[in-house]
Amino acid sequence: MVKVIIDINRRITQGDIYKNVDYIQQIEYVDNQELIVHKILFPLVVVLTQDCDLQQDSAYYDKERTPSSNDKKLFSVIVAPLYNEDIFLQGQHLAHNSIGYQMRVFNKKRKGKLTSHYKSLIDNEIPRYHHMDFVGVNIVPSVIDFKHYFSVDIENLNKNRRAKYVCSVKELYREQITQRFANFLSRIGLPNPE
Amino acid sequence: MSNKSTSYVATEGTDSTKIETLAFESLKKEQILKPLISKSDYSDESDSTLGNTSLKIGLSIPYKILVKAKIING
Repeated sequence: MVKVIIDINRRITQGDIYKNVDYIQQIEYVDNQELIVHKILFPLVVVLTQDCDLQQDSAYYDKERTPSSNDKKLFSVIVAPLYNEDIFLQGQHLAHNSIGYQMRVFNKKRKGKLTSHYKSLIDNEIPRYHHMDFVGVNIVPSVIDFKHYFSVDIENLNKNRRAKYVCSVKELYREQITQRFANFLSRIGLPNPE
Repeated sequence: MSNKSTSYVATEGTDSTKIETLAFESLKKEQILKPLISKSDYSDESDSTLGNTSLKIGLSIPYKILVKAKIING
């Protein structure tokens, strides 16, 4: 379970969920006149950047309290995509024909019972994923894939914030998410035994 | 979904190659595809929420778009 609040007037905050966020994948130069931008549009993302950094950065968008130096200004916000649980379980969440990735399949039930893999997923025991069953907003059960984190230009997000804002994960729940994200990033990969 | 992209500004490169990309236009209309997944595409014998499509947020999946941009300051 994840509780949320909806406050569209707030600054960008850790745990905010935004819709229709672009990830610029590649910029391809055609010639001196034109270029092609490859971008992936993610239906939902959650903000993972440290909230004190976001708070300090927000001052630069407030004319009444603009800081005297740009020392605390951010370039980007770290986000991670939320995938629809039902589609995620089938490994089809990146299978749109414009992307075409086949991902791992999670069997939800076997012989009428929930599988241990699925239980591990919803109990947040798999470091890579964070399962979210929302209360207070009409978002389908979703899964964050920490491996797919990316950054979004903060000025652009600020400019479009009201149009893209969905809700904000409440503090306790967002801290669980960001702690798990930090743990995922700081894991130490050991070589496979020979 | 509209194929008209949002206004987006990006700069990149050194002085000699500095560019500004503004007002993207779509490269290929057929690549702007509907991302919504119907229950028939992804049916599940379990308690799928996909049938409840009218009000739910988060039903769609990511998709890729190519956009053509004009280099203003070549």
